[in-house]
Amino acid sequence: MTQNKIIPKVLAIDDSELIHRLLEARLQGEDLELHSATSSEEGLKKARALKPELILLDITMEGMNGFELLDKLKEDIETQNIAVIFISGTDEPMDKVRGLDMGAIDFITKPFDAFELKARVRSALRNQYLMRMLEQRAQLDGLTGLWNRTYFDNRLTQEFSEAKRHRRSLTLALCDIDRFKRLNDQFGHPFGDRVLKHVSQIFSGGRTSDVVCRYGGEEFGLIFPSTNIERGCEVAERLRVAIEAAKWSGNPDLVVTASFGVCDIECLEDDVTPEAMLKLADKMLYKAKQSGRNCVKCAKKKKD
Amino acid sequence: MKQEVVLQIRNGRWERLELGMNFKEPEDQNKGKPILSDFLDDESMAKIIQDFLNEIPHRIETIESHFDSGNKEQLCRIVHQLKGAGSGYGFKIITTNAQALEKKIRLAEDAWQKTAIKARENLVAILYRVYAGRNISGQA
Repeated sequence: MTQNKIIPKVLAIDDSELIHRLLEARLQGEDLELHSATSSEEGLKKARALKPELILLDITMEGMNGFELLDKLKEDIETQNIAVIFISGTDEPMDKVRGLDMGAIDFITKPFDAFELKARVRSALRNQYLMRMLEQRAQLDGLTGLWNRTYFDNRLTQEFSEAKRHRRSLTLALCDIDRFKRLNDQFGHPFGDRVLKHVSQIFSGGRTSDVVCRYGGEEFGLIFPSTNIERGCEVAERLRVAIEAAKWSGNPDLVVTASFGVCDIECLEDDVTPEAMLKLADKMLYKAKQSGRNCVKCAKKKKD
Repeated sequence: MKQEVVLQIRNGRWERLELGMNFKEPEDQNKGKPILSDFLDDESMAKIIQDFLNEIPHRIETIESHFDSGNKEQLCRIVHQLKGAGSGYGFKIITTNAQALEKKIRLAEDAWQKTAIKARENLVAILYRVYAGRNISGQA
């Protein structure tokens, strides 16, 4: 996991150009990237595309008002966790109650004080950062730093539906370290942990689009979006070779190997679901184990 | 767009204003004096205040045209925006007067133009005075 500092994105949605200019001037120098939309419709599009950390949202706009827009944001899984602060000219307590009850995190009344605005934006971004960190931590494997099983299940479902919708290919590989129990028994559990960490590093050094997860124990799940079975098998084979070639300090003669089962979405027969895909990859992994381990077994395409 | 507005204003009503003919009789001793932004010394605000001032003639035109044509929704929209932004640009008095006008327009029904005329005159007079301060040293 890289620790590069990410500049948070803030999207201001307001139909008044005057307010956009004011926000730009007042938030200048703050550690954030400010984007603007002058209508709710444009705001919704930008929120989906940019996935900002924070939205500053006006209530009174032509067409869809701020409340209706917040509803749309909360309905969409991609935008529902974006923090929203209402910035509104209304000072009606019931509007504030309604906004906060709908899931906005704060309410700033226009005209706003520049210092108060900055402090509230900073506070919202701090909380959002902590929330996202907690969410991410809950989906990470503590030992290897890879995504965990929960994340894997969700991501596979998401990638599967994207692949079907856009008629893109999708490949799944399951990998299991060979005779891992024997490694643990012979060299001790700390060494077993070292193997898991090193294999994880090899997997993480692959293509940036690949999703690498610790599926459980010594088993890993690798999702290759927009990748067909031929290319997926090449990637799996390259990873298998890299694991086999790894040197283990203190045990120079030791060779650790791994087996892979690979399938893509086009290999599925009648049951075209993420569960069926996982089952097929598992079946191919079993075949690899049956074939003497340290190999990659790929499913055949349905048409073949 | 801006040039058109300036020309229009120069050849028409705005010239009269600069000659001092367009102001109503002041109700207090400050009436008619140019109004300056509270953020005169804030460099980060200079550019946007300048733009705000340059756009005032166009805003006055828009307010008057929507008022005269009875376009209540569009009038409310522009007045609401001035209410929200006025103080932010250092002109609390715009916010106060825009708020008063917005309230009059929204509360009144059929005869809203009659009910709101005084509030409209007040807001427009304030906008003129804000515009009149545009060339005073330190502002814009």
